[in-house]
Amino acid sequence: MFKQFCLVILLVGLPLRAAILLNEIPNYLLQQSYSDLTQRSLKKSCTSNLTSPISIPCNSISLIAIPKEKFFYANIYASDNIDDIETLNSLIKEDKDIELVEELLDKQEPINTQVSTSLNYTTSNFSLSAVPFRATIFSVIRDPVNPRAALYAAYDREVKLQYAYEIPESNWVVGTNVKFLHRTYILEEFTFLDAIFDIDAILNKKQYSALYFEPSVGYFFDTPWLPRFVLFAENITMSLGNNNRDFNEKPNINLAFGISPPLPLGFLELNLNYNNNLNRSYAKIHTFRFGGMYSLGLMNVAFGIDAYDKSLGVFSTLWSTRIGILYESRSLQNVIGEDVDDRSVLAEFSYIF
Amino acid sequence: MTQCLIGITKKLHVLALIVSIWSQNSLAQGIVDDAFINKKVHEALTLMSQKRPAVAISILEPLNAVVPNNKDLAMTLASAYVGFTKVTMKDFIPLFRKIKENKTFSKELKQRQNNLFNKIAEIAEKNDANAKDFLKQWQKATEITDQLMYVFEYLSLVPDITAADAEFVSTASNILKMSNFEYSKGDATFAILINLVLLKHRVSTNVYFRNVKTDLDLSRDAIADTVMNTDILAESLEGTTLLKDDLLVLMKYFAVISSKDSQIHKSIAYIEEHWSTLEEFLIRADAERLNLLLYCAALDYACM
Repeated sequence: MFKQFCLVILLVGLPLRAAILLNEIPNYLLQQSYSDLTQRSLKKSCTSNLTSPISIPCNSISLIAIPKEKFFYANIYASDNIDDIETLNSLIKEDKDIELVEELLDKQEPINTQVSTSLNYTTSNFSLSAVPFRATIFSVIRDPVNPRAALYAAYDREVKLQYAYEIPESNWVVGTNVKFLHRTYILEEFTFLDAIFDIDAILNKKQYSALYFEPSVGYFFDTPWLPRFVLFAENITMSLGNNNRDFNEKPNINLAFGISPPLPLGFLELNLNYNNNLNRSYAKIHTFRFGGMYSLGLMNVAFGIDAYDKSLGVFSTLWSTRIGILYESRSLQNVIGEDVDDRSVLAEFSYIF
Repeated sequence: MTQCLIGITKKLHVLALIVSIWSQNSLAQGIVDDAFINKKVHEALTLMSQKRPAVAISILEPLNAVVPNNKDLAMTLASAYVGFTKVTMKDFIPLFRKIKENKTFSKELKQRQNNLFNKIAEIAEKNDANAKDFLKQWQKATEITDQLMYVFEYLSLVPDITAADAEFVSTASNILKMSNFEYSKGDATFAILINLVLLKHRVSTNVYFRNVKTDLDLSRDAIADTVMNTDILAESLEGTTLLKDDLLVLMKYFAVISSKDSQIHKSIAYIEEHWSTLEEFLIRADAERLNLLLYCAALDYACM
């Protein structure tokens, strides 16, 4: 009887689970990711951001603040818990390492890891960036008796074009992002026992391709503080092919206000953004985010804060290299109404050609 | 401590009944839909991770009373009951490791089975002229015994539980028995593990063969020549019926993870058809001796 158990358990497919724990995958991971840590520090407050050194802005009209000379740089960033990927990999491997699986069962905190690389070229009103590799892995395991897991693992490739145009003899700027995303991903829920014997039947790789069109318009007051209003429609999506509806394909509307108060030393800018997510199934439909950036010499600091997320990034540029570190803290409420903190640290390295 | 846990369980049942009435109202109003159940299961899973199975049960039990055939609900409720014990999936890692090594293990097991039989035959011959005959009959009795040997071999790798824990594990087993849904292999494996824990507990506490002392003094290399009286026999038969039921439940789950043409389906039919042979054999022979053999096997041949 047990012989048969051992031999046949490996053979047949499995019915998929209802999506219960999948709700624990944070929405921000299922949305588009940021190409570098400066933008990730600001998050939605990047809409009216102007002074991002060595960074591709999230909103095309911010390009007008970029110095006239062209620059080209490569960027890589990763979260600090990258070794968790190996532990998670042990669950996915055919020849499972029982010790690593055992270690995985001990983890009651979610695994949340990202790695991203990008190649970027920019001038004062145009940018082109390519993300050859961006990986996101999120996994949560619940119930030590019959452990059940939700897994989101995505591998993205992306090309983004930005163009900004200053309307002559006016203070208006218009621009747009056009972006192509190809994502290979797994978004599944399964029990440990399903996984330990027949992971291949569970982990279905899916593909997602989409074209994004993200127009924006801004008005800049010609005063020393450079106050500005920006309207930015993100995530207007044209889904390509037979995609599953696993991702948000509804636009986000951003309305932002920013100022750049002159300081005797360094540059400061402060931004306030209102975001309205037209995907009504999202818990956070309306959010205000306040963020800013301070640059002094080779150093700059970027920060952002809203009701759910606090981020602080510190960056330094030296000769042709730029390094940065970002601390993020998210306040979430779990399904039983308890407040849960989700913290992460990410590090970045850029090389400027 | 045991009384306390049983007390808590009883209180939970009362609470469950109250919430059950509320749930039935909710059902009547159409509130208990899949989304509602999924949310409650999610809450329970989170509570299980926080080692709060009692609260998880208080959420799920009333819902399960109304919707007994929802897989996620029943599986999580069963898991919550097991959560009252110290048993977690990590305790089964040695068993998984053994299964992983199964190719060589099957041969080794066969060898050990033969060794056991020879050893017991030797002891029997030394102590009782008829014992050899008995052993031969027993060996012929059915292939059930072979199946049992496999089960018992693996039982040594299954975690032990206390008598109080057994109540919870038994409840978990009953929840799954009473539900009707399509099992995945993982679900069936979980059900097998629960039932193995229960089986081990029942074997080690002599539930199946209550007329045999638990502290068998096997070092004396002897099999007691007991004459069975009617009461003992009745108890023995009651025990074997329970064993039969437990084995059939186990095999039903094994059938889920087995291919359609596997031996397991034949074995289920065989047990159902020929269990009486084992019982007749028990009457003709000696329940205590049979139990001794099973007991030896269950304890990983500790008696050898």
